[in-house]
Amino acid sequence: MAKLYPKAGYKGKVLIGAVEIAGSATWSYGGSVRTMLPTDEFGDEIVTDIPGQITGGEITVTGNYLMSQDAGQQLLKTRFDSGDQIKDLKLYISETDVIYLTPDNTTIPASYVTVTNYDNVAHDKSGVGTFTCTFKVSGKLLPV
Amino acid sequence: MTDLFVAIYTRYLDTALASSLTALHNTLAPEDAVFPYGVFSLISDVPDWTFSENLENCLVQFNLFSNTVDATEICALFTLLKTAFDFFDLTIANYETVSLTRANSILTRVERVWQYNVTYRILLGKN
Repeated sequence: MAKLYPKAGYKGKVLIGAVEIAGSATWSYGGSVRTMLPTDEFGDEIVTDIPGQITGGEITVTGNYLMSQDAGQQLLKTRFDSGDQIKDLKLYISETDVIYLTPDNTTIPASYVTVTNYDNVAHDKSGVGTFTCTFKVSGKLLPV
Repeated sequence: MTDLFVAIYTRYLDTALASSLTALHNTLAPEDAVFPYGVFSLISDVPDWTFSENLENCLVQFNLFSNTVDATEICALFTLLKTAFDFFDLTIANYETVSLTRANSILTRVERVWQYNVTYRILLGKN
């Protein structure tokens, strides 16, 4: 098996469909969490758990704010206002090698993300305008 | 960074500073430079990037030289330099000026020559 190497961060990208969230500099995903359900009873010395449901994590994207006229910012606003289920979000690990995370459409029901924070903008006299937006994953993200 | 040098010099020629200096040299003045004159040089150029944009974070230093007895001339040159470049939206080929801010300045006198060293931070976005 060929040796595997990590991918350089600068090759990343964030897309909703074909629209890039331009200016993005970082994305992070907190990962899925499986709820564990305790089943211990009186007399049990140790707590035992059984696996419950999977809860999707939160995605955070930050970067340089390219003004509200940017297509990516406009799309974030549209999706936030409508509460759309976004199934075509792509968090690129490497655009060059086409490796990304995207909602898993094999789960039942199909996974999706929802914009939960938009228009979170900061401006500093000594720097450049920045933005942060967040998505909540319903289901799982699948590496492609 | 030829584009940056051209932009700086073009801006200089378009200001009152150009009629107050005998010349503005790039990085090194000739030995027979006539006072008062200036030198500008690229001290550092640090690249920065997002997933979709490339940026250049540059430090450019202007050195103004005067051999008058008192500091009146060198201070007047400094004022003209500030007027020319502080927060100016530099027109530069292949780039967009994100910011042009004065970082610091130092006035010294060595061997009866006044020298004002003025450093600017220029943030450029690649087109």
